[in-house]
Amino acid sequence: MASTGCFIIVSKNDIPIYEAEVGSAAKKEEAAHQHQFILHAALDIVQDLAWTTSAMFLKAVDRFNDLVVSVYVTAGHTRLMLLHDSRNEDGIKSFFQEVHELYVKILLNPLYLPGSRITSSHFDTKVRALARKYL
Amino acid sequence: MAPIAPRSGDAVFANVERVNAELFTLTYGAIVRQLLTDLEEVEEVNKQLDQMGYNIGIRLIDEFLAKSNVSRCVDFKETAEVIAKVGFKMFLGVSASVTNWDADGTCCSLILEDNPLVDFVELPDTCQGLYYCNVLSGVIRGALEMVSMKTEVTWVRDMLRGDDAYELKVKLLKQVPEEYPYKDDE
Amino acid sequence: MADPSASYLGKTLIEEISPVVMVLGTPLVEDSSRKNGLSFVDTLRPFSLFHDIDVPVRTASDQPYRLHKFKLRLHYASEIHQPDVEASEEHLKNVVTRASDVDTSDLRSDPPQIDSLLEAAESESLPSWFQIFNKELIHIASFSEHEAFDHPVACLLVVSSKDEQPINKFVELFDTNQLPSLLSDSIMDPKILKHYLLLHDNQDGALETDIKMLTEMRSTFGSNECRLLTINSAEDGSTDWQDNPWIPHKIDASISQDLGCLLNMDDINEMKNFMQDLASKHIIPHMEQKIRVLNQQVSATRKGFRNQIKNLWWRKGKEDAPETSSGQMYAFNSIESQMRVLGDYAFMLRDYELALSNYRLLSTDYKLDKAWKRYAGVQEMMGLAFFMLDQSKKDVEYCMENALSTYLKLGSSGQRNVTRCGLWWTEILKARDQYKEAAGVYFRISNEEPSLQAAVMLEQASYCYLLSKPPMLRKYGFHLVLAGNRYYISEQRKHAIRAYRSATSVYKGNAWSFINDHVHYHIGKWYSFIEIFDVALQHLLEVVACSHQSVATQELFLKDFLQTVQKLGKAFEVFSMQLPVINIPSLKVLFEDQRTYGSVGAVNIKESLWKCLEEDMIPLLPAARTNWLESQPKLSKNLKDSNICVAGEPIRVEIEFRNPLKIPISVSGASLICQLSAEPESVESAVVNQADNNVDGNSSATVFQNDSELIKLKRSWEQDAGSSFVLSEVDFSLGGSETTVIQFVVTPKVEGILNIVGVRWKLSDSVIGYHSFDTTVLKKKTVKGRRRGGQYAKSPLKFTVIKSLPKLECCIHHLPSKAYAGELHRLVLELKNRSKFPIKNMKMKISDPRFLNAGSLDDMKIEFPICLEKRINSKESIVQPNDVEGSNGLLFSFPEDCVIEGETTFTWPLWLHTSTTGRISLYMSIYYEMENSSNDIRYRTLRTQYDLEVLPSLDMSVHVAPCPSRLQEFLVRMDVTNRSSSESFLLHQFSSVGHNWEISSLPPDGAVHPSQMLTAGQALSCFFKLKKCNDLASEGMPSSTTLHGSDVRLGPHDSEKALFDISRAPLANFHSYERLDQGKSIQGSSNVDFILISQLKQNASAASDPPRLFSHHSCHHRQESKSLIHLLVVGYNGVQETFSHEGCIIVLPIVLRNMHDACVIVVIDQAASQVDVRGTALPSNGNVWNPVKNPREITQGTDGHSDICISFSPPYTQTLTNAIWGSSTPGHLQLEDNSMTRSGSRTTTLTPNTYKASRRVIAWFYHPSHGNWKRPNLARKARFVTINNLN
Repeated sequence: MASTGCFIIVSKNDIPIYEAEVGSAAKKEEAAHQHQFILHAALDIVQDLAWTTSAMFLKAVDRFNDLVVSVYVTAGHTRLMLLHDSRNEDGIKSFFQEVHELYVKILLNPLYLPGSRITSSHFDTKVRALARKYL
Repeated sequence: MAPIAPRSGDAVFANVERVNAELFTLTYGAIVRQLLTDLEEVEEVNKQLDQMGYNIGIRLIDEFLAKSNVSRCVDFKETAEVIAKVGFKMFLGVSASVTNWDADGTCCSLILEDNPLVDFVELPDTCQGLYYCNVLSGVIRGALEMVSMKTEVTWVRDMLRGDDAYELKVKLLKQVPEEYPYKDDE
Repeated sequence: MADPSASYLGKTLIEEISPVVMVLGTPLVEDSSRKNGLSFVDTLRPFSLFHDIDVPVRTASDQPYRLHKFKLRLHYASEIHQPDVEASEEHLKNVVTRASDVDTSDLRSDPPQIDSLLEAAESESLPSWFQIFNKELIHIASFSEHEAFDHPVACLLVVSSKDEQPINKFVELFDTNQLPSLLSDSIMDPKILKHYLLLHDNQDGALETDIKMLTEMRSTFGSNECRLLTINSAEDGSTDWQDNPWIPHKIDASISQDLGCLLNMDDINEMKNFMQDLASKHIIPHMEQKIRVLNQQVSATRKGFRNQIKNLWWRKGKEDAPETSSGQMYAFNSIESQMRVLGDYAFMLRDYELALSNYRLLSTDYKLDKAWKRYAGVQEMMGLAFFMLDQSKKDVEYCMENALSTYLKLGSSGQRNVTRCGLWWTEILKARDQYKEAAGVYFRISNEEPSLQAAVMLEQASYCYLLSKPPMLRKYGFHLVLAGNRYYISEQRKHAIRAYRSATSVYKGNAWSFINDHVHYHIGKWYSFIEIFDVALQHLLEVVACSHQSVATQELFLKDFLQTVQKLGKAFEVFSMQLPVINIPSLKVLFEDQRTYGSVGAVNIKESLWKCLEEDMIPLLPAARTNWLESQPKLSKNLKDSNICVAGEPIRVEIEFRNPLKIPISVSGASLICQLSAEPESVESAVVNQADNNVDGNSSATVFQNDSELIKLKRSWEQDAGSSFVLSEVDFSLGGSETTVIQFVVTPKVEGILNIVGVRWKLSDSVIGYHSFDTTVLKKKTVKGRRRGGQYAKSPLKFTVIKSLPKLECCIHHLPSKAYAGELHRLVLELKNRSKFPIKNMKMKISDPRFLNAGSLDDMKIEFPICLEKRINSKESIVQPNDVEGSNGLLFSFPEDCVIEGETTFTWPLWLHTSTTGRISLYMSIYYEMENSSNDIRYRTLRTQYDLEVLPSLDMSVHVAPCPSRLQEFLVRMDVTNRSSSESFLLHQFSSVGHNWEISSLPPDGAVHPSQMLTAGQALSCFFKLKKCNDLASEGMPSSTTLHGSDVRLGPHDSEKALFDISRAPLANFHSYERLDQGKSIQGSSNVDFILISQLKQNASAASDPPRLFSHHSCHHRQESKSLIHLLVVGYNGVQETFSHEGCIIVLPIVLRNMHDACVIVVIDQAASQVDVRGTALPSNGNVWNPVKNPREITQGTDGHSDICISFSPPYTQTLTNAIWGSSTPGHLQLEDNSMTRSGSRTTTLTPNTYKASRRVIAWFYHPSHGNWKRPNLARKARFVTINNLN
């Protein structure tokens, strides 16, 4: 498992609707905003790349020092972004795919308003489990 | 003598028309969501759902009796069985189980292991206290009222609230007797 | 792409990579030039850049071309070495600080907007000091030995004419041991082009000597290498330059006042000419010449195939040579150095192809030799050459990438070159609009630099992102933040703030909470460092209420915020501060217009409940007017847009406060902000113009979005405080993420229009928060039908204050909070009228009279419970029925004459009877009118509500069974159980209520249940005899109204305890309500009610206080009876008879009683002997009963009883052979419901004997309310009549 990893789901209009620190490293206070900065900046790259390819999994789109940003863009242009320092692309890919399925389930919940924050604890635990499994 | 009542609705379920489950679920979800936005109070929504269910029930019962040729139920116990085994199977495609009867057989619980209404549903914090499936209780109440049983249907357990099953408590309040032409007092 | 040399990089290259002229001068030279405030080099520098020096040049391959723009770099020999690090660092720092002073002047203005930034970027108006900085940065790397273009091409020797022995001076000036290292340790060719200049200072005399000297020089050094230059030929300070040529070259414009004051025009022209032909006549030809020579050598040794092979082989040969990257191995005369020189000279003369070809060869050699630094340098030059030749991007990329990475590999020694190379590369990329890549390169080199340089690099990177198409704003912001950080580290706070501020425009209003917090927090902190506190607070305010941060962070933020506020030194006011959060929809207004509330509980009851309670008590509003014509408009005007409240009476506002943080906060002095004005429209205007004249002179540091709002609030706060109304101040503290409801009170003192505009509070005694209630929110909510029904259709916070009215306050004395079921209490309702004015016709309505109803004044005379006891003469015993029936008895109107004068209290007794167990809540509303009817309100209602809990005590059930022997008597069994937990009860009395019933104990002589005690859990049943006394007096009145019953004292026979009178109020009232309550369905006079009266067993301690009385009622008992008709034949044991005359006549009385509710016709067949009635009289087939029409029956049948009558089969005479039965009554008689009759059956006999008067058949049929005939029933009675003959 990666020592640092920050997973974040960004809604169509660039609002983070789910954030999770999935790194095994102890979470530092200043890490939070640093990760947000990097991921937020990476959105620029994503917006260029997303229209060039039909694949949902755009691999590592951006890097900052030793941190890599991998992105997965759903059909609804919701972006699953992972900031990580590990190198196994397949793991990340399958992680993204499974999280995507979870996310679709959330979307199907009639009581969930699309684009709003994902508060479901069930979703959260599932995601963290997946992170432990794949990253 | 009416034909023997089917003990399970499979036969009936086999030849009723069907609709895509997700369409069904999402439609119901859309209704609930709309109610939530309109009445914006969970209690009101519960009431409204129950009322809608009631209106469904009083119509549905005829359909039910027509399609599934169940015979007259001799007592409330049998009624409950028919609802659980035939009714639920016929309209929801799942069958419930009837348990914990009270002493004088006027109150029992229908337990649904799975419930097609609530696929993908998860109650957010804002909607705690919502009985998402309250329409079901309404349906049962309405249907039974049409066959002259005044009942009170309440939710005991609800998976959406973290319980392990869906439990509907059906309580027979009073059985409106059939009117005979005249009564004798001997 | 345009001509590369026209691009910015092109220009810089022409200036930067240009021949270096080494200047050697005597001190006197310096002195004379110092007079102008300039060094000698500086004096010449303006003329060392030729914009159009038109020199023909020939390439190595003899193509002619002309040079136009050209530059010489003049340096003192002392400057020609690598500048040392600290000095350059210091220099750079100065540059940056100066810049910061220049362009961070506008720190107070709002941060720039994105679009403005964009167009600024389009117009290339980036901070100009970047270029200066970059130049300086490049200069750090200059004069490196591994590249030749910094090596001096020529050497200019200057001697002042005042020097003695100028010739020797010239000689010793150029003496090797003080030459720069480049020449001294033979890195470059020491045989350098020399030029001799004799400087003449016009201020010390004439030229003649100098001319001589010049000729002397010419003779020694050669004719055209020598020259005379005269300066300072102007009079003192005469000349001042309108455009001083030296200003742009002086980086620090400190001493610019008298630059070149002694130089006049022809001095300048002379210098111009001198430099001109120094460049054109000497340097360029020299370089051209040298290029040719070198080129021939190189092509001789290196061009061509075999040279390549030889070269390769040779390099292989010296593979084992000591490998150093410093490249000392290359002496100036080594072929590599010469190639390098060739390349660089060619480059300087813009012969890029030649340069490139040499660089190419050279790079391979260096690579083979692993001379990495030189290799990188060559690669760098190749890249530049490619660029100048406008070759393919790919090559440039490749070369620069090579160079950069190689330099990086070198580590510290290559570090400066890394920066230079990087800067050049970024310039190349920029020139080709590849801003994204440029930014990348900036970022790469920023990692190699100390923080200050890094900061500048990062900021340039961010601008590149901004310029890239499409602009990458997020990257822009991110890099700005990074730059800001670096700036802060290297104590450039203003720069840091500037960077962050421009970053905020990117992050404005996005949901990335951590980012926003970081940016705002740091800006705020830094602003407070440079002591611009208000702006600092403005930013800190953004983060102070962050709920998502960790506890530690929240504490940090709050601490800094408060500290900054203290540093600010004055009251800091915030409009709609988010700490704590105010939940506006939760706002709830409690006020009293005509509705006044007696208790807190009463306020929260639904308005609808009160309305339906009061509906028939309060008059309709127009009805309350004396003359509706004139009072109506006023009323509507006042009521339509505002609620009515009364001066002097408090208005309560409840708002929910939530603490978003996880740490406790303390709020003090929270209170409402109100405006009270005489007439409605003046409110707004007043506040508005206050706002206007306040905006300009607003001294206190208020930071907020909309000034006028806050000022409005502030104003209305300052002006109105205490003047015309009283506000309550609340202090409270909120724990971590806690929510509390705070109640504010405002009490208007004068009439007018009261507006509640907002709330104001102090956060931890330093920050004053304001929040305004915009009623639109509330309106929206209330349209949805929230609290208080339609009352909020009008704005809920606007009140019409009317002049003060009397207001009743009520309290109920000794109302228990806990009681036992059936307990009977006498309460005292006390009404206090605090006002001056009297209060008249009061009415009272009580939600459930079953529990509580009003007594009469004379209940108070005698103390409880004696007042309930029977009295000898009870006149008012009969309760008026309309008390019970009218509006089911809820409405009680006090007597007309009772008026509560001002400042008096008024008491009235109430009776409480807790008839059911459980929690009961009583609603009571008292209506009253005032004497001085103010125009709007003539009446008011006082609403109170009480809860009490009722515990189970006794429960009683009664069974009535008919007495077998007596017709009129019944057996009553009373079962009573004590359900209370601990208490024990004394049974006192058992009474039967109801029309003509009489109860007596059984056995008749009384003592029922001698020990009258009933302890907890004990059950008991007593028996009584219930007798129906048919006194026809009571026939008249309906049974329900009259309540005189009969009582039996329970307990010891001889107890002299008085019985309680159940036929008077309150017992009678309660009883009648109980009747109503316990199934009123059953009608009829024949049912009976029972009342059990008991007392609580007082334990010794509480013996003093009055006994607690209980009454339990059970109603509508009817004596059940199996059969429909009771028949009683009174028989005789014997009859004495002398058969003197014809026969003996015996009359057997028969008592018939109809137990049924309907009229019954009874037929008695006297002589029916042993007919098998069962056999024949079955209803199913009517052949035994054959109907016969008979006129009398038909007439009788008109009242619908019977249209058939029954005649019996002829009498059988088997048994009664010698006796004839006859009847004293008609064969059938008619019984009204529940009535009884007597008939007789007469019989005559002739012989004494024992007769069995038996088998009498009674048939009846009745006509129940709903139609169909019931078949006859049969009853048989047998009596033995023995008639014994006496003789």
